[in-house]
Amino acid sequence: MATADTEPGSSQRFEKGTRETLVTVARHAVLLTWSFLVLFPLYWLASMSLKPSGQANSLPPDWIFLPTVYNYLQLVQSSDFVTAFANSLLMVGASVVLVLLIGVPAAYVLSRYDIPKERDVLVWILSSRMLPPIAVVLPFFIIFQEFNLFDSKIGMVLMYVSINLSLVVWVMKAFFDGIPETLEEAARVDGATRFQGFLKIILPAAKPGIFSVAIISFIFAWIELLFGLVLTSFNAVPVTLFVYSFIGSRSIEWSMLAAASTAMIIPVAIFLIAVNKYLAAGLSFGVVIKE
Amino acid sequence: MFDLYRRLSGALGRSSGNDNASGNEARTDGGVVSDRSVPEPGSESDPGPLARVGAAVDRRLGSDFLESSLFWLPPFLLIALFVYGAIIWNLLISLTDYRGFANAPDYGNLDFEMYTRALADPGFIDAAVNTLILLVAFTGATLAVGLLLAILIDRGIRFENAFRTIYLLPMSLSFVVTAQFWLWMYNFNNGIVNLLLGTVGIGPISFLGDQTIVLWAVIFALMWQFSGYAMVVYLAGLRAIPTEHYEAAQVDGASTLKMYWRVIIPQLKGATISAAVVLMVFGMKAFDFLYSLVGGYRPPNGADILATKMVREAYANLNWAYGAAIAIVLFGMALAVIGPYLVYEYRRNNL
Repeated sequence: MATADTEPGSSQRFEKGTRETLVTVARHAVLLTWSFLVLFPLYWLASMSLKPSGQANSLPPDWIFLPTVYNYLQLVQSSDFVTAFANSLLMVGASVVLVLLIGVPAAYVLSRYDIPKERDVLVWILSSRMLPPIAVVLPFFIIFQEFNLFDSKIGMVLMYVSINLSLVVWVMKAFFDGIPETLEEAARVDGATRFQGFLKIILPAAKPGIFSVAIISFIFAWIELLFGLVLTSFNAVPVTLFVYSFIGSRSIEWSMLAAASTAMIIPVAIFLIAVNKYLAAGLSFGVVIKE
Repeated sequence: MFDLYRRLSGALGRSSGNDNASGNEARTDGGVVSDRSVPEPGSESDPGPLARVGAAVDRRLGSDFLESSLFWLPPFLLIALFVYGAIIWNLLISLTDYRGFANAPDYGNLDFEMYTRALADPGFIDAAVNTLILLVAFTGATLAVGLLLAILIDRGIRFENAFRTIYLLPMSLSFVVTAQFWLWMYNFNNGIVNLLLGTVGIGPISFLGDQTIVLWAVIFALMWQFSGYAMVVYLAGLRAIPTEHYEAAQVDGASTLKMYWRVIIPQLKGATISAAVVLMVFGMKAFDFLYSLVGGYRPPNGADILATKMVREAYANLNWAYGAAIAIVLFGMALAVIGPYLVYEYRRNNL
């Protein structure tokens, strides 16, 4: 189909010079418009969190205003918010550690070992990710009350692990598949056991993958709402639910709401910048983009 | 079914696997011994009964079965318990009459009463129809936007990484956060959307109050959040297409539009299918968004979906069994999409 000796488009590009420029301009225009559509609400949220409460929702919007950190001070002084934020950090952090401890070795073994029906195991694990969590939440409500896990941090950690496990196994398996097996073979010729080879050779080589999968697990657990809503009441309430305390029956405290929401984005934003390079591959469940 | 698969692909898959295994054995045993050239017969003379049993299992199930099961069994069992076990239990609950503050469901007499009740409940039918509309429209719109963005970004653009990160950003935000600013964007009195529409003489429109519009407003908000994901998948698909295909189409004199329509987009079938499946899963999470819009179990009129109805029936009205039945219907809908996809990919050896 393709003629290999054709000079790739450069000569034609000259002929269509002006058209090319137009197309390029149009491309950028569309991309920038969508970027604006994506970024504007975030800008609005952040700016609202920096406005005094009377000014937050005024019409027309005050585009120029004197920023104040008053809302954030209020937030930090509210022990409830600090507790919920710390709760979430702790529960989500613990769940990430646990899911990596369970998922990464499993992914390695599935990538390297000769396991019968290995594909069936993988599909079994993957299928769980694709089912609506809402179908499992009711039994957990019963189990949790039975085993005193209701409104406990341990219970929430377990739920977070269950939503991220298949993601970790799949992305890491794809990552391990991409690391040449000759690396470990060389180590084994030198007398290292398989386990040593995994620890000393493969884990360091897989660091970027582990890092990114950890961040993505963090994000998915951090933004989780349903389990927190149904399985906690007081002690283990995650920060996602705390935000609602600003929605009263009569009025909404917009500026506080905005401040709490912005604070929720902060950990995610830090991580996003840190793993920018691997984010795409991770969020897309292992669909790897060629750079 | 799996046995059939094994027999069919036996010649290729299994034999190569075995070759690999035997190769490894040769390397570990033979290789090490000859390299070190200090064979100590005493060290490996009697491995003990336990090791002999292990060896027997290995002979039957492949050389690595025992050693590896320590690692892959935990996630396997966790998912069996946490996902499939819970779903089966949910099914059981849906067959009882469990409601109110009773301590445990009575599994004594099981019937399909809750399902017949659902079919007679106009609220359920509405929610089911809304769920279907939401899933289909959301998935279609998100794929279209994602494809457009991917095509625009693909052929060498400056700041590609910046665009990609920006487009993926909304996906990492909690629905709690995004719902807050959509609430404001869609506000009847001073929302920015009505402000903009007002400048061209339209509106104001009550996006969240009008029963015929609210579902579409929600779909747009979800599309806004997940189009970056579709873009990433399509970008991967586009990058997998050999450059020669583009060049060949250009040499043939095809216009850019025609090239994409006739040559490139047909090759993105695989990317479309897998993106659509994952988007449907995200679409199921619309519950979070709707809950966050109102901060309660009752979404705006006209936007009730099965997920919100399920949680409302179970946790607000304490109709546990009825809620469980709705959850099973939702699960069935998900399975109807995901089941065929998994089987298809499995058969094609893509998984």
